[in-house]
Amino acid sequence: MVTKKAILKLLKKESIPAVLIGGLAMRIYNSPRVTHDMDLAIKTIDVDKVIIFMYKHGFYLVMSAGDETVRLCQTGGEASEWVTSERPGSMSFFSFPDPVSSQEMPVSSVDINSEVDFLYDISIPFSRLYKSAQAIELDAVTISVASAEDLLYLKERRSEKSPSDYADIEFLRNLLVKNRPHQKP
Amino acid sequence: MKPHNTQKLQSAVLKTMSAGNKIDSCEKESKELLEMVPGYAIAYLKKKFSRNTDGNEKSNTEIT
Repeated sequence: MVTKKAILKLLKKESIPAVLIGGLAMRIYNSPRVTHDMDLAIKTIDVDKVIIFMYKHGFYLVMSAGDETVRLCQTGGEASEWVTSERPGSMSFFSFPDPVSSQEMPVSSVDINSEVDFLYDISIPFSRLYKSAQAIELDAVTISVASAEDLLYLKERRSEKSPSDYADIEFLRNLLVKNRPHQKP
Repeated sequence: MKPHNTQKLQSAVLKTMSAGNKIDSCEKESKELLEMVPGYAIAYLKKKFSRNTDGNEKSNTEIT
């Protein structure tokens, strides 16, 4: 399986700009919280490039999940058509340890830890998010991680906040207060 | 030790790590969590995709 770190490095190699947001970005800022997925903001114009990239590396776009099965796109072409017609604003990719033989696969066959979400319709324009992102070294490759200010903005904009969202907001506010330049009295 | 203190300690440990190690440690903890809680994966997927399709809150706001 291609790891999350490898995805970040390969995206860079393929010149697909992406900004790490969500739980894993929080982790980079030393938040202790645990997350299963990796959230990446991308440009809308790069959606098809990302689909081709993810299918090349053995991931499938999952459209929905029921009690026993998930519905997925078996090919990149199907995924592209689905995104064009549904305009979901984001795409969730998973890898499946066993061969994918149908559009419906048992929930138990999904590797939850492999989840990579690409978001291309968020409340901060990509150009602004990218410009204010932190450049972080990852095994000799520089990746973009959303600034703490932008992570806080995205968290605060969520309409239905979970307890972990409130914890994240508190963490980010404290981080920003600690890092605020000292003002002269 | 209280959970709050545990979290503070973990944050302090993370500060000493490289970005790569932080991502690795998160993946390891996530795997441990999934093994500890039976049925977690199914509940997680159902919740995630029900939020995406309810018409009120599109996936574009769902950054976990």
